[in-house]
Amino acid sequence: MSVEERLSKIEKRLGAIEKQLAARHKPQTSWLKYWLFTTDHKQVGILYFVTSFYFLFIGGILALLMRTQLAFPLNTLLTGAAYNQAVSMHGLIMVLWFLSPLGAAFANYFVPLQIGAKDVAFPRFNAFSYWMYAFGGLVAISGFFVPGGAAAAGWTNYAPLNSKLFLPGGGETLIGLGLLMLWGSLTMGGVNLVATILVMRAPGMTWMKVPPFTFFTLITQLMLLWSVPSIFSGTLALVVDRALGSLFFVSAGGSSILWDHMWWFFGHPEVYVVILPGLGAAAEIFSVFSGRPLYAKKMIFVALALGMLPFSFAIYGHHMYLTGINALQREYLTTNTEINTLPSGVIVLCFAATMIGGAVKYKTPMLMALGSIATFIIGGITGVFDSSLFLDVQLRGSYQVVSHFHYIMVGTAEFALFGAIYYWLPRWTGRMYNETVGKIHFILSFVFFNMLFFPMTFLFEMPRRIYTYLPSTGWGPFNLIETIGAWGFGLAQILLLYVMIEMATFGKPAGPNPWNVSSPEWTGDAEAYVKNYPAVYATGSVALDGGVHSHAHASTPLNSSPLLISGGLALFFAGLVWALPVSLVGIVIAFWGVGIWFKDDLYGLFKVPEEPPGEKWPLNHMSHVRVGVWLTLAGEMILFTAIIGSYLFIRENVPIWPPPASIHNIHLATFNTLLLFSSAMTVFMALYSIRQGNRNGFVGWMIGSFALGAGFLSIKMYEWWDLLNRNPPFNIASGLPGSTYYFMTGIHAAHILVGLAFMVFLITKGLKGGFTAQNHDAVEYFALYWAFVDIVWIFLFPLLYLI
Amino acid sequence: MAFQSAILQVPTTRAAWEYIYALYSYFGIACAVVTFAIILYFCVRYRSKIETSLSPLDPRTRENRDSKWKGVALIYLLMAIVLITVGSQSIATYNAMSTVPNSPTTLHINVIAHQFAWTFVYPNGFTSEDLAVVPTNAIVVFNVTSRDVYHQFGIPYFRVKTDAIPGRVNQVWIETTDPGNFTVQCFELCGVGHATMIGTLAIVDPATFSQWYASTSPGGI
Repeated sequence: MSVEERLSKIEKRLGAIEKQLAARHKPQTSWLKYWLFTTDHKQVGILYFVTSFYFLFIGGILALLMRTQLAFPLNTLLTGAAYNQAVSMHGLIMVLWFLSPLGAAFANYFVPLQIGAKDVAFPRFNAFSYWMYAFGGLVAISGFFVPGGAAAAGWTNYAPLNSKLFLPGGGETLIGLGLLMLWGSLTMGGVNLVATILVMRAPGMTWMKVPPFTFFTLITQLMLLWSVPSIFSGTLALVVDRALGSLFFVSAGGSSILWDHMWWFFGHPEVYVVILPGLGAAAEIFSVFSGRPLYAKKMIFVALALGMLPFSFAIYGHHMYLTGINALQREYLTTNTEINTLPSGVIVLCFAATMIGGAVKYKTPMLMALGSIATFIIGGITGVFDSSLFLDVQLRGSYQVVSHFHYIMVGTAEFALFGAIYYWLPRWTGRMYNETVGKIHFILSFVFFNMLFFPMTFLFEMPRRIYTYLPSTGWGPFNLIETIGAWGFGLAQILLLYVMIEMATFGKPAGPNPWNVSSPEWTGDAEAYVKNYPAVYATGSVALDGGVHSHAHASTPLNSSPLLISGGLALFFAGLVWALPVSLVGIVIAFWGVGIWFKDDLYGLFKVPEEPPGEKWPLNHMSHVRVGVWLTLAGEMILFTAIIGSYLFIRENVPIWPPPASIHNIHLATFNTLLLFSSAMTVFMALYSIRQGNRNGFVGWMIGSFALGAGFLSIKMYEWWDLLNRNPPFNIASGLPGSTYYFMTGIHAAHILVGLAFMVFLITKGLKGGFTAQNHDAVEYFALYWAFVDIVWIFLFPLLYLI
Repeated sequence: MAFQSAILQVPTTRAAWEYIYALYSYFGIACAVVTFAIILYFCVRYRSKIETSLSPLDPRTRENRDSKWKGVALIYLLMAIVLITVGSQSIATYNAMSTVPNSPTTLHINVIAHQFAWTFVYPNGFTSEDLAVVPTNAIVVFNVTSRDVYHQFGIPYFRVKTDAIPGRVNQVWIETTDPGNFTVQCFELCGVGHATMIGTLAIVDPATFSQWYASTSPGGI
């Protein structure tokens, strides 16, 4: 690198610093407004971080309550009902509202920096995703304050215990509603991060040059994108069961096994979703603190993409060994589950091998990462016991399993994420943590963690989720040791809180790059990273391109609609259980938010900085919006596959099904189908017109499509009205034929309704001259969506009306 | 409360389970010891001897020049050997144990789980709550189902367990040996009484059993 180049780089840096200083002198928006309306990925990341610790606190208190109850046989601190609420909410909160969002916090903050993107692909959806997560959690937790208490059917919410018949309280409904919001959040977050990583990498940032944490995040988010739709449809069916009386999970046709499939198709990949962000951070930490490149990075990437990603879905059935599934399936699952330990083993040993030839510095992040893989080895080996079909006959539902998955989730995931906190927080705060306290925190956590979970491995005769046991079982001493370990582990986390607060307030200035890392999130220079020359560190200013200190300087504008829509939705959902007027207020607020969103789009008020061309292989010709649209449609496809699959499952398990012709008006339905298909044609005519630059044609065809779509919906509503007034009644609660019919047509109708709202937007914008022959991407995306909705109907129509 | 009298023979199901468990334990402990030894060796051998701040990465070492496939392949190979050994044993034993052995004294009992007790239905229609009386040296087949929610039927001493699901029947069998009282417990969260959903399997000598069974009548307790 020549001197001139270096000089020009330094000049560029100085220019950036000057600009930033100028930005600081601008009048600032108020602190509160800034944090509530921010769409900047760094601030959203920090919001995720803080919120996940709030949920950690709640989940931790619940865990301590349970452990205290179990310390002695026949203890009376908690009743059976209270214990069931604690155990269910602890699991749900820790897995879904603490661990994976903590990973998402780092992903939000560091992925764009690591790949040299200005922000994530869809900043507004990013903020939306955060608020849906936070409010979804509040809706779920509010179950503690309704009569009957919070959800109490375990974190898996097994059917039919989750039905209104067995758990009539509002808590189970609230967890369903909270989960629905969370699934929305995870899907938006997934689309966002995947699109960002796929097409917004800096020039030269090819797949094998991507920093490990980013690659681990990509795999995590792909798993979420493909697994969440299944449980979304399951949760929706559960909520409809509880609210409207449909029979998906309370009749013999659907019930337990259907829920098992839907839950575990999500639940098993979720385990990897929990550990992968942490392991990604551990990969960076091992490399940095050994001063060596990550051992066999390519092999790790291949193991993740070709091993863990597909296998996490293929083996979900091993959670159902004892349900009576057939022998071939059981052998297939045992074999594949054991195969799936291979990529995990390779990853761990490659992390360890990274130390070879290095000069390992045992700072707190490194200790945490070592603790993480140590617990991964123990948890992995106890997991191989569970993967064995024959051993599972005794181990399933016992404390051995509790030990195994806590070793993975608390041990591997949480220790690695704690490592990430020590490693990356100096980047956020610009200050260094207290090394001594950090090390004490690690030692205490590690010792008490093992004291808590290791004895459980031997308690394979003790059932999970029991609130009491007899002294004669001999489990008492084990449980007492575990409880002491639990309190020790819980109290040790006060040190973490202390470290973080001390670091943010009194810590010594860390400088721009305290670990001397070449990774772009520290140097701010993705180009230097991929071209393999030392970056020119930005001196004199910490947290140069963001960080909490410069929060007045945002790259994306503030926007209030994500907060309003999520908050409104949360009020609407919670009101369904608490008091209906709250719901009405919620709806008004949510629509207000949607209005702001549409208005901003209509007038182009929400401006995101133009992304410079970068590394996109293999999607070289796709913009990030187009990638996002396709990812969303892929998610939708899995959603409808799950729904149609469940329908076929139900049909197979219900021997007597009334012939559709005896119920439905097939002539009307056929006519309606034709209406919908003709609307697809008119939408494409509209697209064709705008491609020719014919604005009037566009608006005309669009209005025609709207009329056809609205016609379809009206006939559908007439059909429902007609069926509801039959004698004997054909409604959602009258049997599985009714439940499936209204559920499936209802979801499809909701898609049509969203489409109609989009059409109103497109027509308004078209009338204002917002689309031209060159600039009409929104129309194309809408045409894709509308075609998708029609294709879905191609499947639903014969299934519901003809077969 | 696992047993009252001294146990002389180990039941078949328990013996098979203990064998597989021991096999997994030996391999598991061996793998753990080897892995931890390697990692500890790396930790000590490559520790930094200079107590300064971190030195910057040499840019030339940042990229992997040499292929690491040999090390990775070795890890795969060793893990695969271990997994194939234990996995094939496990599957073979499972298959061997999934057919009910032939025996002159086979007793079929239907188990109906419900919140929060077990109902045992004998071939003569006699039903009993939370107590199953069976003879020694016999094969006992349990056909397990549920009347309300998802339960799990387990007899920990015999190392057998199966899901009790409404609308489905799952089968497990045990071979009784010595007399004694054994715990039957629910292993799936089924509601507020999950912890106390405990029944007793009483194994008595055949003479006592025949006498008792002859005195039972359909529906009686």
